[in-house]
Amino acid sequence: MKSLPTGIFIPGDSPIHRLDSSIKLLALFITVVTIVLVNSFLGYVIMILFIMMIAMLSGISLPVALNATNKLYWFFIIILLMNTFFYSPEDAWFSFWVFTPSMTGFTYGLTVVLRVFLALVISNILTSTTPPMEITHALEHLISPFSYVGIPTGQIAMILSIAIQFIPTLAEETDTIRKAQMTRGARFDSKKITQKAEAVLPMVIPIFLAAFKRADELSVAMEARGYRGVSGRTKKSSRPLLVGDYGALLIVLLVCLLQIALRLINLTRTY
Amino acid sequence: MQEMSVVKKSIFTAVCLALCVVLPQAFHAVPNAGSVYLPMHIPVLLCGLICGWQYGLLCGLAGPALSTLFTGMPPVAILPVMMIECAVYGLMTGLMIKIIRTKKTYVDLYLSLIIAMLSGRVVAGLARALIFAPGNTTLATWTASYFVVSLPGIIIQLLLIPSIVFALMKAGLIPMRYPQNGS
Amino acid sequence: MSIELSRVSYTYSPGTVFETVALQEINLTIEDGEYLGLMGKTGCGKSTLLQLMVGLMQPSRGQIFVDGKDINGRDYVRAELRRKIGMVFQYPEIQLFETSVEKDVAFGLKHSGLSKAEAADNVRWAIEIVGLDYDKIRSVSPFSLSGGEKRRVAIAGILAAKPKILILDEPIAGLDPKGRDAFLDLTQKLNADGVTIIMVSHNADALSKYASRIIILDSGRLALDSPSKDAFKDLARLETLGVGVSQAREVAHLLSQCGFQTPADIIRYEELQPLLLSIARGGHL
Repeated sequence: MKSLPTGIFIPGDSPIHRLDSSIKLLALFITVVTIVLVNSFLGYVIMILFIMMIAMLSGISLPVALNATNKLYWFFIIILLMNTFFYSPEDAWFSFWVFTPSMTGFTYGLTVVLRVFLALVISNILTSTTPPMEITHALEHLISPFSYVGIPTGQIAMILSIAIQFIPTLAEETDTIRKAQMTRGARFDSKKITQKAEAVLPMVIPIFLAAFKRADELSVAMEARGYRGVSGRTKKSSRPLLVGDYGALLIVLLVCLLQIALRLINLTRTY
Repeated sequence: MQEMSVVKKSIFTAVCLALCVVLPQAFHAVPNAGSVYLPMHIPVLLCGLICGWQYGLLCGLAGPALSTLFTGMPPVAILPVMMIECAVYGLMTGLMIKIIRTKKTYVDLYLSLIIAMLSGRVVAGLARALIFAPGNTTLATWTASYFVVSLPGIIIQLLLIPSIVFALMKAGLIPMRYPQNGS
Repeated sequence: MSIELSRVSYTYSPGTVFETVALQEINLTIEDGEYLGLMGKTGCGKSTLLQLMVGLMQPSRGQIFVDGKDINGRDYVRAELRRKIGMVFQYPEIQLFETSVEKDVAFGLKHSGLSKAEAADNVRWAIEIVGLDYDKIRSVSPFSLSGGEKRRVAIAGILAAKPKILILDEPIAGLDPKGRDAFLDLTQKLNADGVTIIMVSHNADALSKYASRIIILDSGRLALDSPSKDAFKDLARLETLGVGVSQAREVAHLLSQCGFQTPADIIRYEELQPLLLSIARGGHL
């Protein structure tokens, strides 16, 4: 990987890094829901300040925190234009062919962009401050109640954690295969569609064979040791929750409640 | 192709999930790979075909999410639609390959793939129109983004995926569908 | 066909928290027809060096010349490099993908500009030189072969392009002794026909026997570069570099510690044998 991709874990020791990952994930869900609830100017100001505060606490630099939105500027502009021109034909400034530009549409577009933008930044902060392994453990933790309605959460968690363990190995293997085929003269730049498919065959078929071979070996090894399926897998013990964890969750809930209150007060205005 | 043990299916699903993260990265060397080859669809479609609909569904839901988590792609903004689309792919290939039995492996594979690819695109379009971007999705934009731009990807996948399935069978990693005639 | 590296450095993920220097200021010239052994502990930069030589990566600084031409120069034709240099990766059998052995071996010749007949000749030659029966194996699926056969087919796929330089990354890992010897003999035969061999291996016995020159990397720097008979003299230093020596060198060293006078450039069994015989007969050298 040549440049640092978006959302990659950056080691650190900030208060955000130290939070329990299940709490962090839960807090993210609540924050994203809260963002969707916001419908007033004051609400947005509070949300922006709140997320800025989290970003500062996390010690993630501003460019990195905004990284997630880098490639989406076109998406934002298109949403803004579409809404401006099509959203509200009733109070349009003027009407030309199918275009009905309106202030209502423009503000609506702006709020959509702002919501997506904030959700991206806050998710990016989570993935930058939490190792992927821990996020999965947190997810495993949070979905465990679903086992009562017949969803095999244990098995799903096992599949997910094996998948994550396979990622580095398979990434390395994939890289080797790509390089090996390139030194053999493979070209990936063909024009015709059928040639394009042919061009990736030398890469894709070995990747799947290598991956399935590893999977096959692992499953044989597991079955040889008498593994038949998941029942009561031993949970990875995590550290007990601290005051800080509860505090963080409380703050997020308070912000959420505040926004709900604002929304109730502000029912008449719909952004 | 349904007589594998639960353990084997689980681990095959796990590597398909891992490939949802790894494969798009590998295609970075290829220009416009994301929209042309749709690399993430390949492991999902295969997972449904090989392991069955439950596993395909899981792979389709979790694959894009894992990829976002590890690589930042796809961006969070389009993740939900992508998850729904892939979930339908995995689910439908799994169901179709179970139902369709024409005694010819490649016919079964093509039919299952085509039905799954169509239904995934329909559902993703509906999801966009009704939930994620109401007002911004029209029949025209849907056709453009799901069929025209990705048409090469659809054809490439129809050529690629059966090849992969046959290679896996030859290598003895997955059981043959019709052992009596060797395919 | 010479390879020349001039002040080559390589840094992974520059400018990020994951920045790692893999190679530093490497100067190296590899002449035509050499059999070079490349050693060093895991993570010393061997693989990076090989990948720079075949143009899979570009150096962060410095230049690499193949036949006097800068391979990262603006007007250099990559296809030329691909034709000249063949690279055998570790466990090359994972690169197989075609429906028949013949097609897989021929894959590298697709863009080579060879005529159909020439390409077919090369394929036949490559399959036979790795010790397989062309007529028997040509239309078999490579996936249904045994592990050893798969590796031979994969190597044939690289040899089919008749590269003048062959770069090998741990090619004998995981082979049984018989397969290992057969493979090493093949490299020797190719070398005798004028092919330059560059081989990374942890197997000091193999390199002592076959390589004429040894290079050792340590933390991205060139730690040692000498003819193989001189390369294994300083055992204490080799240990800090994480490099083993051949069994013959080990025995000669033990003998010298026991008071027998043994030359420090014994690295092969054939060189040790007369010495052992004379000691056994009671003669002290």
